[in-house]
Order: sequence, then structure tokens, then C-alpha cells
Amino acid sequence: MKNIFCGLFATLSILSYSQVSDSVFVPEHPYFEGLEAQLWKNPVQQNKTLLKDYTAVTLDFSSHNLQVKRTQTAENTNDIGFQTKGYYHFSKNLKLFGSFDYDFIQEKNLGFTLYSGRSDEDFVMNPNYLFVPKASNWEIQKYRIKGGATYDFSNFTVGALVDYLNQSSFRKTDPRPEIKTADYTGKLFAGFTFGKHQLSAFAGYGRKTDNNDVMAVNELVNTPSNPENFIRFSNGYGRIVNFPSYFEFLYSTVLRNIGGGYRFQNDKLHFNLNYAYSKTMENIYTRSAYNQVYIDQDLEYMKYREIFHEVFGSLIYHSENAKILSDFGAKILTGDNYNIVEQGQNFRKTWDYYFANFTYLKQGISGKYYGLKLKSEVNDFRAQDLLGVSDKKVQTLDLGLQFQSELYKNNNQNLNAAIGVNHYFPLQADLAFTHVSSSSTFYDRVILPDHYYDSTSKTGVSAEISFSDRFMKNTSWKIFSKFGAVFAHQSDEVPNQYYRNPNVYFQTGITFFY
Amino acid sequence: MLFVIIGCRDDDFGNGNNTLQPVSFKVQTKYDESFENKPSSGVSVTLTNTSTGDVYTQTTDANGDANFANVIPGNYNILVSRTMNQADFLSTFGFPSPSQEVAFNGTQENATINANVNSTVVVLKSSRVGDLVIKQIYYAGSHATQGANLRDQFIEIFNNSNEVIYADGLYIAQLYGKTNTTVNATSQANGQFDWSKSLGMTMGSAANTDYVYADYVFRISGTGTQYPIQPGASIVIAQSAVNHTAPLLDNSGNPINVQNPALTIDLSNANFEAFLGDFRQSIGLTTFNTDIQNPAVQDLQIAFWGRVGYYNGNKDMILDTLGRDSFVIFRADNFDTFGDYSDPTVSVIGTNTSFYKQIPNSVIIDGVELQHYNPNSQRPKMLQGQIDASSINTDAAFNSQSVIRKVKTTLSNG
Repeated sequence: MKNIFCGLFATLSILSYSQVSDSVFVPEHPYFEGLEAQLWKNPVQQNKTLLKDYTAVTLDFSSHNLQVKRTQTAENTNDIGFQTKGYYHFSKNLKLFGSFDYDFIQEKNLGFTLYSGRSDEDFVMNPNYLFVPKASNWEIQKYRIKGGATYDFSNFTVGALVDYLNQSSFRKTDPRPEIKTADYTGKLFAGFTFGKHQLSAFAGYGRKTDNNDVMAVNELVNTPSNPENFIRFSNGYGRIVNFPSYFEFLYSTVLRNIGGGYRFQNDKLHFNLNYAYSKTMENIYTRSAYNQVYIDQDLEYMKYREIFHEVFGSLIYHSENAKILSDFGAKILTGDNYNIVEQGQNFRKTWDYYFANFTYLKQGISGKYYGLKLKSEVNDFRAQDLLGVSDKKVQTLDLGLQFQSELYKNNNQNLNAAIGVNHYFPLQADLAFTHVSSSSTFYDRVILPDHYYDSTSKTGVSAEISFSDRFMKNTSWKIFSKFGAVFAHQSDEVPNQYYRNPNVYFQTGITFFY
Repeated sequence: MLFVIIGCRDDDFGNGNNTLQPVSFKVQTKYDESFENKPSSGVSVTLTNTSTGDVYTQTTDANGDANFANVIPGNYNILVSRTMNQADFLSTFGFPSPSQEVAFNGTQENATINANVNSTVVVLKSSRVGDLVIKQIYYAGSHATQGANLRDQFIEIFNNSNEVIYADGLYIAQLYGKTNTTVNATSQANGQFDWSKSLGMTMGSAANTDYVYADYVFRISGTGTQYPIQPGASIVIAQSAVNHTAPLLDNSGNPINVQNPALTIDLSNANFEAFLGDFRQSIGLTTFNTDIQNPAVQDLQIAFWGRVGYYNGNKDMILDTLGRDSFVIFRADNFDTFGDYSDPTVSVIGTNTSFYKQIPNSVIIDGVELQHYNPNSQRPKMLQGQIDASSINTDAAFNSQSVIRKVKTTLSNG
């Protein structure tokens, strides 16, 4: 098989002198995991990927201790994970790939959410969720199964992806919600290749349900006179409302997307560019008069819709001693809520997101790899709540740089290390808030601290080391550890009591490849 | 303030601009037919958002209209009230007031306000200023282990007149209603049961507007002049008229210890107690373990505990600690002729069906609407506005709090 990869930031003239390389084995170097990730974006564009067949089984442990964080993120998270994944040429035309993941996650000291979402994933959380101020520990178990396939019919290629996530989330002190999440999506792809070009199209559908069942509530303290334990409902970003169905309700979210892609490919170069339109519609269903919760239009309470336009692509280049992978993209997202009772919306979120990553990997005369990775990310975010009343604007720039090197290498063993640094620049962080409620708790303890977080410059450092050993012809194992820290830079706008200690991240694990 | 719609033409939320904006809303108020439906000017109108608790207040103009310029769309409880002195009453209606002050109230629950619904009509009815009023209801109880749990519940009834009133023959009713505001086929628009749909009910909407429904009714016995209540004095009706601050023995001889006596109360001097033992034994049931009788305190009569053969479940005078009861006091010579009905969710009468005594509003002397202390768990009103226009609640359950009425005046003529 011929190597067809190329890189984004390398010029085509440079690439034209590149040499074709052999197919690649994912375990050989962390870089190749980036190639594997491309499979999941548009597999028919990767029908000629040079990944060798492999199976990997990983057991890992990670821990996050966060002092520099948004409020609705746990202070400490421990995750024990198990993963098995693989890529297989089932026949000349049929390729299969898939993974199974299990995670057991323990979160400590997490308040202001009784919902499965966390604010480390977003500048603000979903506008509709239950919360109590009182922090507690959570226990989360996740299973995720993903699978994909492509099949070539002469110039036509078809592909499919399926993804199923099952998650249970428990809060360990009163009130104790049990949230059972089932999320499945399916996506179909078709591509037509003419010469070095390919056009493809895809469409997907998914449905996610979150059954929220507050298993135990001490109603004696669930009162306004006990504000730390009083269950409230966020409806927007700053608007707090009553929610009679607090002990049982469900979210049902339907995802639809459609898009198309273009690929250019020759012996030296792979370039793809895709566009996707996606819409998610989340409905919250409350209890019926007979105390049952089910999906029925009469029980709809609130809605939240997100529409996003997404452009993404990659450039991949491989030669015998130099490999480049670059991926890039943009996402333009608009989120709107809708209140069934009030017949209107009070919340809007807009989020423009741009990213570009570039990885260069060079193989020296000794056979050792040396790598350079550049990451950049730009966010332009705004959340408005007309009834809250809040208007939050954030523009950020994230830049990252990582060097990696194989410190030791022989035919069977490999010691790889990497160090990195990244910096978060708050280009703009504005918050306008008008108190319209007699309680300022949510503003004082969520909105304002999160604004401090988003307006604080932060620097992160990281170090990684891994050692792999092939102990049979097609079987090897790898142990790996990663360490990271994030330091906040003091600002006149942020009170001194914030961010006195850095965040600390740690991960270690072992992988068997066969 | 308006969102600029960009990049999105999906019409998932209906046509046009869905941005929630304040709307104008008009509450038209008028007195009831007893006062020739005159517009009620100068009355206070309060809108309370059932979802957020936001409150808007306006006073009506000469046409009886309260015009609210900026109201956030949603569901609201509307309360209209005015208290008239004799001069105001005379100038408004042209005839003298029957008392020094007359209170008028009107309510509407769960009223929708949005861009398509911009007005409503509320009718004010004169409130009866009773000679006897329910002054205090201690329903929350005290701490379950430190205090007396719910054993120390009591009701206090106050003589609001300048004359001696006899408690003999007074009925005390614990009312029944729906405990959530969900609207369905057997409910009214405010979420309360639509009693007109109960089995055997034939009186139409009057079943909802002219009556209340009780699951338990007590009666104070007496010859007619046996239990006087002096002007400005009260009687106390206890679940168990014992000293709850001291160690007790229950009916099985087991000790009941109170770890913190300050959380509860000595009810051994209560005027009446609800002892269910004799009644329960008469229907083949045992006496409730903590229904301790004090022989020195007069027992209440059990006037209604469900239809004969379909008795309701309480084993004592147990008040709902969450505040989902309402209470009325009344006098009636024909109590036994009052009907009883199952709630409208019952389509077939079975052995476990409960029945509720139908009490006419016309005989009610006073009533108190309680409410759940949790704003997420509000329930619809059981009482018409002229009996109790609003509601009251403690901060929590088992917290040693009671609800107490402020007595503004003591009438000279009773």
C-alpha cells in the first residue's frame, strides 16, 4: 500500500518531493492515533488509509485536581478507564473499525448542578437544568461502543458509523439524582471517486435520552429557608424558576445532520474538506397528572435547540522520514431555548469556534522520531438571558506547542517523551448582569466566578513519557504517563482568593497491542 | 434587547419572533351581583408568577381596570383585594355597610398571560368577617426525634367579637384537594379537582364554586352553652392534649422521650382533643399508638371520617406537615344531609374508594388555605377567594413553626 498522507502547513512544493512510505501501525507512535481519529469524521474519505490492522486494549487511570475552573466542574476527578479498539481489513474492499470504552469516574465537591453536563465542556451549561448550591461527590459509569465500516464498489464507496453511549450518573448526597443516559447515533456515507478527486455525502440521525430520577430528597430541607439544599431550575443564564417535576423528568434530544465532503488524493498528498449542518432539538418532558414521565407532546415543558454549521478538514503527508498531519475547522453554533408555558425564548447562545493543529514528525538517521505539534484555537462566545438578565461575551485564543522525541529505540523497545506548553489568552471577557431576583446566589457563586475564570490568562505545562516493548512478533505493550499543570495569572479584575493553586493533571496506563 | 436572528431559519418554535418580551395585561375587576357588578375602582391587584415568584402590583382605575404595562409572559395567580370602611362602603354602593369594615377579595389561579391573552376579569366577593376565626394552625410538627414529631399538632380558634360565643356545635373540617397544579381531564383550569365530574354529582360547576370537600370533620359537642369562648380568647384543639415536653408512655406502654423539650409544647391544658380510640374501636380498628387520651380534656366528636364502610385512612387528627391541607370552621344543623362524593378521578367505586363530605360555602364561618412550603410543589386552592384569598405556609416541616393570623380588630357587634 502506498502512503498518501500530507500536512496542512507544509507547502505543496515541499510535499512534491516527498517519498512514499509504508503503511503505519498505530502503536508505533502517538502521532498515528491522530490518523486513526480521521476515520471517524468521514470514513469514506479514509478508505485508502494506510493504517495496519491492529487491536489495542488499554487500562488507564487519570486524576484531575482543579483549582482554576468554572463552578460547575468538580474539584477532583478520578477516572479508571478500559478501552479496546481496533482496525481491520476484513477483505480487500471491506474495512471495519470500532472501539469499546468503559469509564468509572468519581467527581468530588461538585455543586450547582444536578445534571449530567459540566461547565468544563462549555462556557455556560445547557440553559435548562436542576441545581442545588450544596456541593457533593458524584459517581459516573460510562459504556460506549462505536463501530464503522467502509466498502468499495469500484469508484463508489459507502460507509457507516454507529455510536452508542450508556451512562449512569449518581450524586452521592441528598438530593441524589440518578441520571440514566442513552445516546445513539448513526451516520451513512457515500463517496464517488473520479481520478484523484472524491466527492462524498453523509447524513446522520441520533437520539439521546436522559432520565432524571431524584432518588432521594430530604424534603424537610428542600425549602427556600435552606438555600443550600433548595432545588431550583435554571432556565437560561441567571433566570431561576420553579420546577414542579423536579424529582422525575427526562430530556430527549434528537440530532440530525447532513453534509458533504471533497477529497484530493495522490501518491503523496491527502487533503479533505467537509461541510456539515447539524441540528439538535432537546425537549424536557415532565410528569403527567398520573405521575408518569414519557415522551408526549402534552408533557413538553421546555426546549433547547442548537444549530451548527461546521467546516472541517485535514491534510496528511507521509514520507519515509517525515510525516505531517494537520487538521483544521470552524464551527458556528447558535443555541436557542423555548419555554412552552411562556411561549417564547429568553436565552440565546452563539459560539464561533476555529481551530488548526499541525503535527510534524521526523525520523532521524538513527530511526528515532522527533516531533513538533502546534495547536491553536479561537473562541468567540456569547450567552444572553433576557429575563436573567445577563449578557456574557468571551473571546479567547489558545496556543499550544509540544516537542516529542524518542529517547531510546531498538528493534523492539521504544522510550518516547514529550513536553509541552500552552497559553490561554482572554481577548475579551465582558459580563453585564442585572439583578432581577431577590436571591443573588446564582450570580455570586456561578456567573461571577465563571466570568473570573474566563477573563483570567492561564499557562499550562505538560510532560509525557511512554515505553513500549514488542515481546512477540505482532504483540507489544506500552506503559505511559502524562503530567500537566495549569497556572492562572493574577489579574486586577479577579479577587485574590481565586486561583492560588494550580490545576494538576495526571494520567497513567498500560496498553497491549496485538 | 432583541436577538438578531442570524444563520437560522428553522421554524421549530412557531412563527415570527419568539423572544420573550414583556406584554401589557389588563385585569378587569368588578363586584359580584350582590353589588350590581359595579366596577371596583381603587382596589389592589397583584399578579404572582407561579414559576418565578415575580410579583406585579397595580391599583384599578375608575373603570375597575388594572393595567400592567410590562408583564413577563407565563402563568400567574391573580389576587384582587380591598377593605372598605363604612364611609367608603356607603359612597360606593349607596347603602350602609353591615359592619365597620368589609373586605372584598377575588382570585384567579394559573391565569395565562402572553402575547395572545392580554386581559381577564376577576369578580370580587365580600369576605365574611367571622365572629370566630381560625387563629393558629400548628401543622408542621416538631423535630421527629428531638421533638414530638407530629404528636403536638393543634388548631387554635379565636373569638373575634366583643361577646361570649359558645363553641358548642362548631364543626372543624380538614379539607381535601389535589396536591399538584397539573391540569388534566378531571381538573379545573387551576389544577384543582373538577368536582362536577365526580360520580353522582349533578349540580354542575356549582360543585366547584359553592362547596368545599372534607376528608375529616370534627364537631365540638355540648348543650349549646357549655363551652363559652370569651371575647378576645381562644380555644385550643389538640391532636393529643398531653404535655409533649415531658416523657410519656404510648398506648402500648412504650416510653416516648423528647430530647429537646424546647422544640415542642405542653398541650395538657388544651380545651379539646381529638381522640379517635373509641371511634376506631367501634369500626373494628385499634387505637393509634400515640393517640393518647387525657381524660381531663373533652374529646371532639367524629362527625365524618369517610362514608360508612369506606372510612378514610388517618388514625388520628393528623395534619399534613407539608401544608397540603386547608381548614374551615362552620356551623350546620343539617350536617348529616350533606352529601359525600369520591374525587373525580374515580370512575368505578371500589372497596378502597374514599369519599369526601361536601360542605356549602354558605355555612363556613372561617377558612385558612395552607400551601406547601416548597415553591416547586405548589397546589391549587381549595377555598374560594371570599373565604381565604391567599395562602400561608411554614418554612418547612417539623420545624416547630405554626401559621398564625394577625387579628386586626375585634368587632363590637360580633
